[in-house]
Amino acid sequence: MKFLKIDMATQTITTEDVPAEYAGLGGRGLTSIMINKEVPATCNPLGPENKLIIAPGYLSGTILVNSCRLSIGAKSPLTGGIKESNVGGTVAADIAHLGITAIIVEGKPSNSEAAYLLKIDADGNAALLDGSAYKGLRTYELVRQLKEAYGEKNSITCIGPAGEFLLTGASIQTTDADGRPCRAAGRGGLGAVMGSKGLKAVIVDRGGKATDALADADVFKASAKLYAKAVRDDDFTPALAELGSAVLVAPINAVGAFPTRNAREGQFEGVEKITGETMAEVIKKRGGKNAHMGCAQCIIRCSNEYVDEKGDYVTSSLEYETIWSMGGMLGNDDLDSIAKLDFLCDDIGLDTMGTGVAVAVAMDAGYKSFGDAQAAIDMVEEVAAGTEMGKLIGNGPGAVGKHFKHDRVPVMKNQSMAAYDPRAIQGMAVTYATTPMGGDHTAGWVVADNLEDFGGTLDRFSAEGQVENSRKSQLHMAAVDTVGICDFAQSGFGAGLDNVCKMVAAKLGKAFSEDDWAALGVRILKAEREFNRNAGFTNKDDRLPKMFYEEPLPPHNKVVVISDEEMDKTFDF
Amino acid sequence: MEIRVRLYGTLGAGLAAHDPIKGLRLHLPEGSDVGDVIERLEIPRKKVGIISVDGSLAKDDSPLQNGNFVRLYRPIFGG
Ligand code: SF4
Repeated sequence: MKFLKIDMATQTITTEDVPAEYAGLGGRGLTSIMINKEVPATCNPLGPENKLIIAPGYLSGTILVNSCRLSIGAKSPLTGGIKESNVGGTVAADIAHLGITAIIVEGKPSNSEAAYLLKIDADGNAALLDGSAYKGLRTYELVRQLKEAYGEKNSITCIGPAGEFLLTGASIQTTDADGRPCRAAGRGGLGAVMGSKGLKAVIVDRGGKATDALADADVFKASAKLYAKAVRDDDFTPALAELGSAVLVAPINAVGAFPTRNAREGQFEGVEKITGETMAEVIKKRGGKNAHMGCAQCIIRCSNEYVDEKGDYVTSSLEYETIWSMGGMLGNDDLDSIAKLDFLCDDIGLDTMGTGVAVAVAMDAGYKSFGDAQAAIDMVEEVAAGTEMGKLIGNGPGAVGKHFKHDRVPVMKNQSMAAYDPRAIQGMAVTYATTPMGGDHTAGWVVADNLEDFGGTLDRFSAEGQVENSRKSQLHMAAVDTVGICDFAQSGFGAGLDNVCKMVAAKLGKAFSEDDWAALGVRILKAEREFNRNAGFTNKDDRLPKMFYEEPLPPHNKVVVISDEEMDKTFDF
Repeated sequence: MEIRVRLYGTLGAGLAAHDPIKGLRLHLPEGSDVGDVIERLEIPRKKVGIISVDGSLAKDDSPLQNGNFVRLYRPIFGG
């Protein structure tokens, strides 16, 4: 249980025991509470006062399945507010196996051209190495060279050219179970924060043997077993293995909530060519991989390896949100180009969602035509080339809209929406508008609750009950993101929330009840909202862009009906 | 009457007649509804989420006509 503090101004590394006030925290709970306390809310996100905090979930590194989420937090250069973006792969478990609770990157080198590598060995010893030879490299080539230099047995978390250019759409990429830098902490421009600190990559040895001891290993084991059984028994688990998150494409389109052509329509006529079912068939036929394990200790395997007609690797993992942002949102029904765009974003180090929406806004403004996949590929390549257009795309939809003086920009707090149109699922309007993270579906995914056919009890076109439901979901997710459980493995909560609380208690060494779980969610949201308020956010920022209130979305022709007063009740604390 | 059915997600798994892309064709007596399709295919009702007929959302008791295209989706979860 220690913090590794990296001062980039002096290139010194110190280790300290985790102070009592952060006990029992990991993941988002730790990053958000620490940022609110230690980062001046009004600071320049790319300046020396910002901190990049890298924290495995509280349960990462234990035997629990699907517990390998890494939270990365900072003040976001994209939203200007607090940010936590989490990612899978293997690194969270590896950091936890070294007994490290968080890596805190502070300050900034005086030489803005400097590039460093942070290398942590199997004994937890950390060193900053000169990384200037790796400057400018895209992530796949970077990882190849770093593995050659430092060995295969490392998890690598890094930025590409977009992060080095300090673009606000830049992601932080990390290696998956096969060692490819294809998993992204995509949201909020955290790659630019890492770039501003002169940190090109963090290399973590995969052989740590200093995992925090559990207070009660037997209780933990029993609960972890129950959790895994609930995941295995869940109906949705085989669907995720077969089709990945892309299983959502067809049904979300069917209910008219699949934002198409920069959210002008809620259904895409070309959808059959880009559904999860089609993708899985194409992958199978060409000899790629479905049911691919992307992250350590995963028993769901929602990942895939998409290959071209010759059977050569294109990208991993093609997911629902990217199929939407680079597909439906662009009016693009060519799956091969979507896969290529997914790869390019990972390689250049860009958020696939924000980047797709940025391209969509450019197309909507008339810069290129919807459906022009080659134009989309060219625009993304321009980011790496550093052209003016590339800078706009790399800075996200807000920057593109401003440039073209185009006001159909589907962002909340300047971060793009996700693949559920809030006009067709009103609950998502509340989540998008009120989460301190900006447009973010994972902050409170209330899609199924809004669809009767999926067992939901809310009327998706009505405001009734939406605020309470989104609040409940957002508070719960803040706690989920703290323990580090993968979103898709939430089926494990089928064994009971108390079962998860037992695992927290068994690590913590003191009681942790369902009330404590709820209180944890409140504590995190309070900290995040306090930070945003101090940064200058008001309730006016908890709103959607005009288009969602004024333009009816076909085929149901509805607009968002949640009033401002209702939005403001979401967090009445 | 003859209708076309397509099953999404894992609904079609184990159903040899179902092509994952093209679906399958079913002959049904006149007056059949969507519920009859689900029954005929022996899919446990709780495994079916959204239903659409010719692209519009439908329910179990939605009546069918010759040439309809019925799509069945499984419940979803996730983010
Ligand atoms: S379900 Fe997918 S995202 Fe979650 S741990 Fe497994 S491979 Fe990773």
